[in-house]
Amino acid sequence: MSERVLRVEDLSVRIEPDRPGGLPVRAVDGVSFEVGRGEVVGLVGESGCGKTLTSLALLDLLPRPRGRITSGRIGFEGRDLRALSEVERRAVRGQEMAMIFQDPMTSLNPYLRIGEQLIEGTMWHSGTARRVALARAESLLTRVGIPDAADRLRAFPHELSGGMRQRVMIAMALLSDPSLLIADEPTTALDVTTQAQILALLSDLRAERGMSVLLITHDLGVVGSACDRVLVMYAGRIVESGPVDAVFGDPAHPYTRALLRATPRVDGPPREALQSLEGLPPRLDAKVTAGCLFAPRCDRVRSDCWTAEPPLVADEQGRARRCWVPREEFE
Amino acid sequence: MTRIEETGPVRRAFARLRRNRAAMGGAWTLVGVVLLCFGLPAALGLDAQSTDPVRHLQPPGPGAWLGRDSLGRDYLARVIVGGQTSLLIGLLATLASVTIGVFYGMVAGYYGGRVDEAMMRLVDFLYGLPYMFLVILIMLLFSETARGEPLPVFLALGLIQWLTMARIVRGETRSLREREFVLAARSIGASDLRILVHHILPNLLGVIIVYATLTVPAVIILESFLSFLGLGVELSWGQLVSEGVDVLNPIHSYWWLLAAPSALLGATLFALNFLGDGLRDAFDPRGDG
Amino acid sequence: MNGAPLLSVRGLSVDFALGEARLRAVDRVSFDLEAGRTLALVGESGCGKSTLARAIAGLLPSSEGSVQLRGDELLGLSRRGWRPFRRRVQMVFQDPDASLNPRMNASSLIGEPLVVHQGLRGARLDEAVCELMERVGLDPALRTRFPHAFSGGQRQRIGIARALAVEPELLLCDEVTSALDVSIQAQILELLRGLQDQLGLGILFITHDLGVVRHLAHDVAVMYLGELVERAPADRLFAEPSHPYSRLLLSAVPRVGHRPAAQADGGEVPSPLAPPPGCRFHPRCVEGVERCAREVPEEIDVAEGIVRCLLRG
Repeated sequence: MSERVLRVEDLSVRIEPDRPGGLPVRAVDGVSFEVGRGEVVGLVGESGCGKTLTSLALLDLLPRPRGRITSGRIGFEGRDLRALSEVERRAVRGQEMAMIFQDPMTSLNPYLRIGEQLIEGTMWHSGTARRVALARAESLLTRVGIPDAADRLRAFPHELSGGMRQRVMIAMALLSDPSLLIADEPTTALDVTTQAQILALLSDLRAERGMSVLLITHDLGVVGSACDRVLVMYAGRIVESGPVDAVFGDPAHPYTRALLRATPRVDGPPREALQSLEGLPPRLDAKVTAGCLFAPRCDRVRSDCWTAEPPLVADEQGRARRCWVPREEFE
Repeated sequence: MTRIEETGPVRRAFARLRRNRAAMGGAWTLVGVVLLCFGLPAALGLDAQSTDPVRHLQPPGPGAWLGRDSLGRDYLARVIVGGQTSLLIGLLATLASVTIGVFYGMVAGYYGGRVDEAMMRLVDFLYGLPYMFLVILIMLLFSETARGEPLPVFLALGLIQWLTMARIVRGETRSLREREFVLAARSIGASDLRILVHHILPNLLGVIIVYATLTVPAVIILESFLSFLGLGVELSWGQLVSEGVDVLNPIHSYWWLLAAPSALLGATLFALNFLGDGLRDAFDPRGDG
Repeated sequence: MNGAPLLSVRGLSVDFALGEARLRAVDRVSFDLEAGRTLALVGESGCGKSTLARAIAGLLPSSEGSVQLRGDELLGLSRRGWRPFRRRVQMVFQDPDASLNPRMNASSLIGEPLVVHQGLRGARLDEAVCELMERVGLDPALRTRFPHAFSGGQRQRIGIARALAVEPELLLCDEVTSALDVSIQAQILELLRGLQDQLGLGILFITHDLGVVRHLAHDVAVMYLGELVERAPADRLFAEPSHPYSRLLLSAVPRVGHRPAAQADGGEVPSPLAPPPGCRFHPRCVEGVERCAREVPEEIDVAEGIVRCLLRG
């Protein structure tokens, strides 16, 4: 029985248009999910599906002034984050909930040494003495697999390789011992061998500290190998969720199935044709259309699909799906 | 529905420009000034030349809305005709400097290496010379009677301004040269000439338009300065300002002699600068697409 | 037409001068490619695969070696010498945003090779452009639009249509799907496969994604720090990889239900400016012995391929 670290209910994010006459975009629409303690949950989807904005909304990092949360509740360790004040939210951010991004080069200040950037957060949040903070930083760098940590503290970001910089980002995130780490495409820019190391590191850290991870990516292979549960997003909504082996082994939504069939696999038959998904995702700034947003591209579409949007329905095995086609008919 | 997909980056930039109030204000002001200087004389049959010593230094009033100068000439007419000269010089000198500068800069930037080094050395050298020295030199090349005519002045100004344009174009060309679509064009087999004309030049348009618009006021000011020193054209705003300053004295203020050309000159310069800034923002690649 | 392979590369090396130092980005690479087949060139950052492709396409000067297209030598050709070959060798680039001139609309972009090589104009040019667009799955009605109005996948199709315009024999694809979503990537890969079947194209496909390799390639060449460390038919490479680096790569690919193996030494690709002595892979190699730090391995022929390792053959 796992305890809940994060519980998101009916979260919606809207982006205002950048010019007069444009329409606002409903980038995230009624998203609900949970993350248990020590769990690694994958949030997967293609570009524009809203996964990054969801994570930014959790940390109150939406682009201002155009991005806003229009509804929903973000329950973190029992508290409703939206009900907190700005100051309280900032305390949560960086302390108990940390985030790492895709490109460490842009997230690290190129003008500051690594050590300075690492301790900046701790000293600010908890007023730790500088020497103590540096010692912690050094031991964390070693923990994340950076050799010669003491020397590295004095290095600048450009002196490190991509994999090393990502490890520094992880160390920065870990400094405050967060209970939830949000990782947005943490390995997309890395070589596959480096990616394997980073994923292994995250897994070890989870085991050591009971830290939960929300892993956002477009790479199904990464989700399949590193996550316990998966949430599949399309057009700002969650269309399927559940334990990763179950969902990938036996997908219950046409989009999930299409994604899996389009993903090239190293262990598949040689030179097998990939089944592509025609068309493009819908524009979220269009007027509200009735019906399921995936209907135009769906291979199982039927008449109900055009008239009303299906709700996200959970079953007893911890899976949920948003589709009018009954489960039994899904081969 | 605007077919934005079919508009190239240049048209989209102009659309952005239209939304910039200061720039549009500048643009309309310019239109107004041009109409005033070129449209009015024909309409009103103004006479800027005939003197009328009896009525010299007459203040503004009916019959001579901007008064008369020290030789009794209708000042309104003079200011307007002077405007024609100033604007024309600004335009033509800019055109000359743009043409030379773009060509020079593209060649230097695209071919790089020793060619570039040599060419830019020359530019650096010319930049280092005091421009007044150059201008005077050029003016001296023309005979006595030619001085006071617009041509020598405009040549002198144009020949100096191309330097900045050349530098800017060279820099842009150098960076464009490395862009992947130029590599793609080479891989298709396009010749250097084709690449320069079809790929590089269109992508330089933004920079060229912006800096050309900012060159015009620079030229006009230079010309005014020359006139002030007595080296300029016979009748231009700068010349009129110079005359206006000459008659200043503590007893009688013939304010209209200074105020009118200064106001028009100032308004034109402001307008051009706002427009130039607006163009620069509109063409900024960060705001693109 | 002689019996020579479509593309034959022998001992190709590419050097860059960086101030005082010289960087050997590609080191004595050799392989053949036949028409109608796809050779995947894989490797991680710094392995030189993109540099190799550009050298073959004549976009970079090479220092030594030989590149032959059906027996005709391409290396050392002048700009003018390359012109007839530009019709036969075409390249598609990774970043469709950067490789399409933002000032030219789709019609001009796709038509440019036809203008340059065949001097087509007017209605005939337009007809040819429409036909090319249809062939790559783009609606010809969109040809007046500019790149910014197309999606990433569509822009990549424009790049492919442009490359096909002159009916090349050899297509060099440099990470053409790396920037695309998985469903769009699938469309583009299947498009390339279809075109290969129809036109008998030889394709040199550069990628870091082994899954894509599995779906598309007949043969695979693995590069590490500028060297070709293994070359084999795709089936064999996936079933029985020979070189320790090939094994490392394969084991690192994440797949469902299988946690990727992480190397104990936490190694990363060293900088190409300072390659390790002896065998370049030896610091990260699980099988490495003392010899590997001293001797440089040469290519060893194995069935239908090569391996560059002191411990094989």
